[in-house]
Amino acid sequence: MLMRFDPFAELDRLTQSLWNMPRPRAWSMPVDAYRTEDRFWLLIDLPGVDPDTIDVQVEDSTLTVRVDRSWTLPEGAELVISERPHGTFVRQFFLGEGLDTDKIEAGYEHGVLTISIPVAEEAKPRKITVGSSEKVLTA
Amino acid sequence: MLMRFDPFAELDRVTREWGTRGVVAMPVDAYRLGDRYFLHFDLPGVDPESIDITVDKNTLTVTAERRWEVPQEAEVVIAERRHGTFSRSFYLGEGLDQNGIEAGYDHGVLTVSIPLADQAKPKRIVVESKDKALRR
Repeated sequence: MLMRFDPFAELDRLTQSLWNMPRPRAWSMPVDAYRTEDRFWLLIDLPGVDPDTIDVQVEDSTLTVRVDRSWTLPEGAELVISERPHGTFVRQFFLGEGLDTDKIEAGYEHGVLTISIPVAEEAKPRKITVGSSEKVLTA
Repeated sequence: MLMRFDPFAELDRVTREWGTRGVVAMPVDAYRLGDRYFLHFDLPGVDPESIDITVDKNTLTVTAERRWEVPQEAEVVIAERRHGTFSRSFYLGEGLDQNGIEAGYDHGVLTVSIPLADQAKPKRIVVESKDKALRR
């Protein structure tokens, strides 16, 4: 690529509602993101979440992941330790040029949400053939 | 129970791993429900085979490993998730049945359940009455 571009500029860490927290705590869904030859990958830690409640949306160039991790103590239970974050969590990513947002795929396994976005054809690295006139010269 | 006791005294809060934003690497919720204690550990993206649970001299230790699985040729843009070996230990108080510990891993959450020992279970004491005897 001629120009280096950052396809994920994190837009905002919007609402982070924390439920039942003993002390102030910043928790957002931790993310790893990387690019392979033809795709961008986002790995988001979301343990203990019902996959049906994970909402992934793309609007314009913004990818929004919203998840509800509400948890109610079973009836009659006596709480001893409470450290895990609960509530609704949102993260947004700005998708730069060169990503094919029509073909985003997402999967959830072992508490990790994996989102992959193909690099648009026109943004893929291309090899430019260097023309030579040698043949013409030797002929 | 006549006496209230704390079945989980966290052994060592100093050795805990903390994230860059002050987040515990392996956060835990624990509660008692009926005759069992339940511990839920957040352990996303861990190979269940790598989770090690041991009980030694009243100390329950959970160790898990999460490897960095990004392909070598990949260009990393964001790296926030923690990788490496995580470990937490809890002191199990009297009154817990260490032989009856069960564990399972689902949706990135490890659940460990520990039954109360028989002698620690609430018992109902029957109040004897001599009424009948008196009436006789």
